[in-house]
Amino acid sequence: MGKIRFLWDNLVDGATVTANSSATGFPVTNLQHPWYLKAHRTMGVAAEWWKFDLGATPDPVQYFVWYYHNIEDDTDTVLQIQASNDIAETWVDPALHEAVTWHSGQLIHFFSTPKTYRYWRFYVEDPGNVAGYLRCGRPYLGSYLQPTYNFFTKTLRLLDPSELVYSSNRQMSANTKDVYRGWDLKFDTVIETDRAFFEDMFVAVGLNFPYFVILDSADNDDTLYYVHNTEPWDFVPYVHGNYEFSMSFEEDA
Amino acid sequence: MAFSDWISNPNWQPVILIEIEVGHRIDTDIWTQDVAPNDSCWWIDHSAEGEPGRVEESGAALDEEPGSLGDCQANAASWFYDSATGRLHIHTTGSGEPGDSSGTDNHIILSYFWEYLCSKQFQAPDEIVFNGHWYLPYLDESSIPDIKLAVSHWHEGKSGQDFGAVRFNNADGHFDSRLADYIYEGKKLIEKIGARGAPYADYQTFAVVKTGSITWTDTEIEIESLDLRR
Repeated sequence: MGKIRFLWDNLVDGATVTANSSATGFPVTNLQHPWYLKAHRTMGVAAEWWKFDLGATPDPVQYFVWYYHNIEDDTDTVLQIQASNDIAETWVDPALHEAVTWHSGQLIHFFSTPKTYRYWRFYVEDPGNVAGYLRCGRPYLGSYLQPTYNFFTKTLRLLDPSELVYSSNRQMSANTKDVYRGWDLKFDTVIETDRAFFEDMFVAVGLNFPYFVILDSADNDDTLYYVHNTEPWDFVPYVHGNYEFSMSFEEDA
Repeated sequence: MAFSDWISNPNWQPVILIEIEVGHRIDTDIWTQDVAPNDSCWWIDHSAEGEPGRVEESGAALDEEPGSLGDCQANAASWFYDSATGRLHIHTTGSGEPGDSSGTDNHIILSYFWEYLCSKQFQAPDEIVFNGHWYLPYLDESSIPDIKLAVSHWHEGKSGQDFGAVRFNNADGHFDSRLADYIYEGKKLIEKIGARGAPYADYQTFAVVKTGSITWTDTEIEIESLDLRR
């Protein structure tokens, strides 16, 4: 099992984002909205791209995430992440171009060494897509926070917000809602350097802004979730200048 | 599926839709004259609002020319929306600049477009998207009032409908700039109810009202709803 990773400093939010097509009512700016259900849709499926201009002094990227997509895993599907520093880039042979592996619901691509480029482009061919458009709810470009020591315990909670009322003899009447997941993590050793990183993260996201978490970095594809914190963070001094730390978060809607 | 079928199912998961026809005063915007041969038309970027449902010049409706900018050029008192560019082109009655407040072409021009809101959103395939509109889940469904009929003095002793007010979440400030830029008062507001996964045609309209006064705070806005005859 790999250590937990937090993907919270999303360079997409400060980028200039364009796409080669947008369906009416689904503008490309939706990609920068924290609601992943407020998605962007293209007009076509044969050769679509999205471009992210990270500005003149771009920060390094180690993760690319494409969340809440409807790309299909067909033999003619092409997924490629590309990057360049050339404003006139033709994208025929950009400085960086790597194939992205398809995964249901979310695409994740990890760069083992940080990549620093101003222009990033995600190119997709999915000509057989039955929807007739390509959808993305929330992309991520950026680095990650991985603490030196992994969490000590992880408690998964399954939550049901359905509204329940009962008759006097307990027959239940339910206003049904969707079940979702929550997690409680306990870290028994957080070193001061990591505590400072966590503090930077909490200052940015607080309880009000969703971020991506990878619970097991040895299994990126299956353990990535879009979550928000549900409790304040307490760092309790322990021994040798270290801290105990607990955090709770739940899936974002 | 009929409404009576839904409510007989204990897990029908009701969804409430609110559609408001919002007004936008646009004569004070910065207009650009179209190039010849369409230079009787002027345009603004209307992409944020989308295609108008109607456009008025000093209270009189302009004719929609859905075909082309050339049709708009050929007919005074008309408008054309180019969905590819998001531009709203207007040919005023006097062929002057819509924003000109100095001469005889002194207009108040309003465009009207619909805002689409709902009580909740879902993942595909149940997402609340109808006619190309993704409904914004800002409605506080607990605010939907009872519909009352009451004898009213204002209408010669006949009955009037009292709808109370509907409330929308505004903690993220979505409505702040909209209430500053657009006109929500005195506009048609349609309330519909349906079930999760139901097509738009199956939604039942339970109120068609006119918006009244608006209470606006950092966390919510409340819009009074009035009988349409007021």
